[in-house]
Amino acid sequence: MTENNISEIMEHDLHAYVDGQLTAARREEVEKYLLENPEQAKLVQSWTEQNAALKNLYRPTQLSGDRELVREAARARSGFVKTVIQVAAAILIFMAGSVLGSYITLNLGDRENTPQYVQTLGEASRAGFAIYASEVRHPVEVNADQEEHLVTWLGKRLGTKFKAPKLQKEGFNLVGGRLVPFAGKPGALLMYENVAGERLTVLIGQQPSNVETGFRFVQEGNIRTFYWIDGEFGYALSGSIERPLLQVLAREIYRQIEVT
Amino acid sequence: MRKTEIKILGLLPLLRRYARSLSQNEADAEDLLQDCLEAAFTGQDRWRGDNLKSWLMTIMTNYIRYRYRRTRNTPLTVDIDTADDIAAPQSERDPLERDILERAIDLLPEENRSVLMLIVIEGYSYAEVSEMLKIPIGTVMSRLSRARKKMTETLQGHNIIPLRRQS
Repeated sequence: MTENNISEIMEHDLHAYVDGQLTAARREEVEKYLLENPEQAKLVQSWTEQNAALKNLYRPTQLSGDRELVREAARARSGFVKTVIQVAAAILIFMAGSVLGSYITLNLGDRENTPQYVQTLGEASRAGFAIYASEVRHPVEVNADQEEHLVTWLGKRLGTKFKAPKLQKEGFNLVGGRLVPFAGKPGALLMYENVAGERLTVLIGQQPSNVETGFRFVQEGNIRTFYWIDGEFGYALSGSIERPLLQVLAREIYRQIEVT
Repeated sequence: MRKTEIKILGLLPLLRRYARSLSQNEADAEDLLQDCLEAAFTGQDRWRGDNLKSWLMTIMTNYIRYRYRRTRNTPLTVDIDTADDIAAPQSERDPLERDILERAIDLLPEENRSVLMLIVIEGYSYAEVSEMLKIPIGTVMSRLSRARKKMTETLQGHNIIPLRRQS
């Protein structure tokens, strides 16, 4: 392999490499090039992962009404030679059908498997932090000095046994908590503070489906949020502190809330 | 059932996959699929008898480009009859990842999205896509490149950290 050949590798070669559309010889050249160009190798890696994720997302699917679907479509073709009366009749039937149809439709929300609450969790947490963390006099409804009462009360409203995560080791003390609306149900918002006066909020809300997810991170303005779903509850940690510390705290909360 | 109908019935699962990869939700995908089939039967004289699957996918791609202008924010409804089928579980993926991925896909312009899907999901070569969509191969490449860059950009804004509890 000469320097010249290697320098000839262009972006379209990298795409073709990812999509398995290169000849064996060219493939080898690209592989050598990637060994010497870690930045490009990273790009290729991310495209490869993207391809895998896309392939996993869409699968061939057969439905029970498929035969009818094809028949109907084939029949629609003969509509070409329909007389005017037949067309008029079809329009009438269609109109009746759409009126009836509008009565029997069922709203399924967004895509199944990607429920709205996934998004809601991060947004609600960010809003909770933005609204309450800046409150000087009334950041919480119940102060940490009544922790026992706080957790019993919020636990009752959430419908679960409930403990406030302890984050002293990481330098954050419980300020207290409040009941907040979350996705139409009661949710709990806990607030923590360190000696520098930096605050964090932890939102806990009920989740309609029992799943487990990874941590998701979002940042909007200077508010950073980690959120995740663990069984029947969703959790979101928001704050303005740096991401690495926030992540440590999120993991700590996750660890402490382990279902027993 | 006639011969073509049986052939199309056999291709339906693959056609549905492609329709879903072009649509924002499964109800839209079913509409697209149905419209594509009707267009196919209406214009079947134009089919030259070669690759039926490619021909149908080309029709679908053109449909999404010319007929369906983005209709975001329309309420999503599904007939009760089809709701059972549609609610079937599709993937074991982490719903957060799935959600982010779908959002990233939905942000792609239609023309880049269809090129990406024809290549990645349907496994067509660049030359075949160029032939199917009647666009130069350079255009195929630039659409593919734009789709990938846009996806990467969106996905990097929402990174997920895989999570395993120590036991």
